[in-house]
Amino acid sequence: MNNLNQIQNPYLPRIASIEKITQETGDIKTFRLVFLEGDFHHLPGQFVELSVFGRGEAPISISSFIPGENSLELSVKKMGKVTSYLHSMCEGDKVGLRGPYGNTFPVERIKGQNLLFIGGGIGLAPLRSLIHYSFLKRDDFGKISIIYGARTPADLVFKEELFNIWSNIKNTEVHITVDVATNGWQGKVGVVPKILKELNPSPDNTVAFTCGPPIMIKYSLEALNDLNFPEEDTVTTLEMKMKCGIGKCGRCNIGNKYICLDGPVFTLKELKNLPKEY
Amino acid sequence: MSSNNPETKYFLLKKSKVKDLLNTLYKEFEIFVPVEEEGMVNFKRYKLNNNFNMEFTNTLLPPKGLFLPQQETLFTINYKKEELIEENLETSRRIIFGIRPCDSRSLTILDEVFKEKSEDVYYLQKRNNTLLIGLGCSNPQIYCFCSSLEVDPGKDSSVDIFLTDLGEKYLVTANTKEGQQLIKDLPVYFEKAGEEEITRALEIQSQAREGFSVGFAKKDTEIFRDVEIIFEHPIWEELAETCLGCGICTYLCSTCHCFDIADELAKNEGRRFRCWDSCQFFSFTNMTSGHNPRPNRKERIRQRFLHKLSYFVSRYGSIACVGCGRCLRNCPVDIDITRVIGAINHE
Amino acid sequence: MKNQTYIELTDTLKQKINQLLNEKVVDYVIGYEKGSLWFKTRPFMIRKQTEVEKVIWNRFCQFNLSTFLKPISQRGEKIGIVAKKCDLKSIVELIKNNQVKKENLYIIQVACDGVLNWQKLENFSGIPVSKVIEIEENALNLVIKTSESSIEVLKSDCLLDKCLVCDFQHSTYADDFISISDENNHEIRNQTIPYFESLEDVDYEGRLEFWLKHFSRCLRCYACRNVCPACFCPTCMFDSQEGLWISKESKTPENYVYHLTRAFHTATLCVECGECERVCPVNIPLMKLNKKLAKEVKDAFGYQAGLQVDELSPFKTFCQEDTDEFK
Repeated sequence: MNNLNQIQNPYLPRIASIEKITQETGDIKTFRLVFLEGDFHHLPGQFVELSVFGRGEAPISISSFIPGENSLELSVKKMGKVTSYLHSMCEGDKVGLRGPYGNTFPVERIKGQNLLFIGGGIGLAPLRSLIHYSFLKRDDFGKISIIYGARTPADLVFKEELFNIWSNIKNTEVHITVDVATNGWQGKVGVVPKILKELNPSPDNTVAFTCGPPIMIKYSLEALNDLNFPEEDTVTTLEMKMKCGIGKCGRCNIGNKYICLDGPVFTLKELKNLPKEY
Repeated sequence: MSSNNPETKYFLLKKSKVKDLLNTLYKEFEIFVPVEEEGMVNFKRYKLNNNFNMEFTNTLLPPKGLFLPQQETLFTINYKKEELIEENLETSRRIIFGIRPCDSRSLTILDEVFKEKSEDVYYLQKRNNTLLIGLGCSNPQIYCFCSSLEVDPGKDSSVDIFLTDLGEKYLVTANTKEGQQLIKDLPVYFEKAGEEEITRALEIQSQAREGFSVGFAKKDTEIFRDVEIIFEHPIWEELAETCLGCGICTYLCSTCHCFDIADELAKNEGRRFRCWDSCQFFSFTNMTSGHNPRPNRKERIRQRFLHKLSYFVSRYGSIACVGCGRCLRNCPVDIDITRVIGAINHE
Repeated sequence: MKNQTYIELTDTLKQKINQLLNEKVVDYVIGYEKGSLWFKTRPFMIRKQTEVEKVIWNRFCQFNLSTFLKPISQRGEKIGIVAKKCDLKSIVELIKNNQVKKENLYIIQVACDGVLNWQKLENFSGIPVSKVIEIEENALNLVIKTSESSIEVLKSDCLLDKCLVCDFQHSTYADDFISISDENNHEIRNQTIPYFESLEDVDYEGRLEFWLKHFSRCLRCYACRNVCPACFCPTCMFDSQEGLWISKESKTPENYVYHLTRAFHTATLCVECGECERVCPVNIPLMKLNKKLAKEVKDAFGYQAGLQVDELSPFKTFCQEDTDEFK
């Protein structure tokens, strides 16, 4: 305890540079960040505390899995002070990062199983880290199905991957839907839970991952229940206001859990043991 | 926070010599003593020959602020040089002189949080650099209920040195090596205690356990283990009707430790700080999206009680309340944790 | 604490509340119940007749219950409210400012002989409240008894500041006035004790130093704002956007801005109920600020808050006669 100098100060961010910015939708951008020094190791499902110095910090889930490099991608919707300022930044600008924080998707437990991803809007971002991971270790998993929806075609994120890359990978299905068809949209129309029911996926040897707006999650969980997906094979990520990311500031406390330490990934079974305060 | 030593020794310290002792310690330590100002007793930094008040029952503000200040700079940023400048965490060695047993217990509770996984260097640096000189309570306040939480008001072995008030002098107990060393280094102030004084001190210590006006039975806290029973209890609605949603209970609580982190921007320099925050405020859990998982006073007041009595227990093994009575004394609408526990069990 | 008058008043009050609930005149009544300790009372929402038994009325009913009429806590129900003469002023302001409708209120004014402040009781008697066994009252004094001794202190010394200038009379805005007789003997009101130490004679530097000293210890717990019946904004400017106006840090400049802004915002609304100062955990003398503003408003516009429902606030009216200091 006396060698405090050797303990890393967990509140100090590491500096990273914005390498590439992709405009996903009107108000969502993906930032590829590269650390100036040192390695970065994380697993799918984790998040970082992103600093825009002088403006503040915001918890952002990592939306990529890029092995062997010291880089990561964050897909960020312009919302508050930090994210608004981030959106005005350019390639080459510096930001701060702390983390990775939080638990991960159960990557070991799901080996050999089929993966069903159900995403809505920006909610595809945290799922994308696991999607990247599973494609990278493609033979570790069975069939991969991705159901993704947004309000309009213009609100779809990761379009290049959705339309041109993921569906071309073996034993992979991508279903894209919009709530409202605009700009000559020829694809599926309907909310995600409805498409999920129509596709009627089998729960056999399958783990479902869902992330999106609360209302989409609510109805998707109901649909998965109707499809007989067991609660322990239904996985979601929680969003909660966070500050420290390391279980000290008390903000993301729900029941005896801190979402920043014990989450953000929870199975439906675990969620049912938490007070409904998320 | 020091290593315990089973060998305990008793000394005497004359009250008339306390100021001299503090003046001597002042050369080496930053000392915090109870000082009365504007009708309130609080721990203040001791300056040479300053007045202090050892006859207080408890300080208005808990000593947590000496470890988790209400606001604290985490680092500064120099924009021109694109540089982060870490705060200098080195502090001189410190002494808290006269900490009550309830408050010293609160520090061991806070330690659990600040040591879990990522160690909080800002808190722990101060904690490790601080020697605690405790003061026994012989006269619990009307709001005190520490005995309900198994804090012994008369005796505290968690502090480095413990004082028992014998009238003209203190019986001094050294609990740790560091405490023993301090006494050994300053023989002018400490004389060996005789059997008679030790016996008298023990009497005073055991008397302190009597005379509490409020409290609850330990078994009444067991019901909080079952969150499902307690979560929808009608009492939360009842309390929410009168709760004002202010931060008094949390800011004056010796174990409440929730904080906010934010940046401040000046011309070429930025600063990141943390400051106390309260689960009783709407903004505490309000997300940028506009969604707030605890939008009403009912949820927020329930969070405060359940965090202390249930969630903290299942995570760290102890109740996050030490019975210091500050919330009870200062709540504008008399929300009383002892009554809440009693009502849930017996009404 | 024994006081026959208050015991009788409590009985009458209970009967009244019972009747109001029984006849469904109101959905609930805001009153007082016994607090955790003998010198404490707590606000109490009485919804069921079975709860009426717990209602009390004594010399420690200090809370200004009108703050529970702020729209944020209203659910469109018809509310009965127990009020002291001084609390009536706050209710008048809330009605005047369209925060509550008079037709949704049933105001039960209860005769009050002044509210005791336990801290003053401790200070003047030198006896900690924990040692007090009983208090008796005679015409002018309180007899404070412990197991060993009994000490007499002047009642007026132990009353809330505001009680010393109160006339304790029936307010015309109350629907009911519960009193024992019209001949209540209010010795106290005849006293003219300067209960407000003004800073008028202090120079600018002195005043600045005074306020910096006091504001520097503000914890920004917001109890003063939340308890204030005049702070009825649905979203306070200091909550509107985190860090927009002032930082969350409790630093002197931030605290200064917070308190001065609040004082300006409540000027012409503040009825000097003193709740802000009473609940402040760090004893900031906020009433000095409020009284100064009330005095300025009175001097400039001849206006006093809380007196008449139909008298418009000077901030809401334009008068040719208003002084124009910018000319």
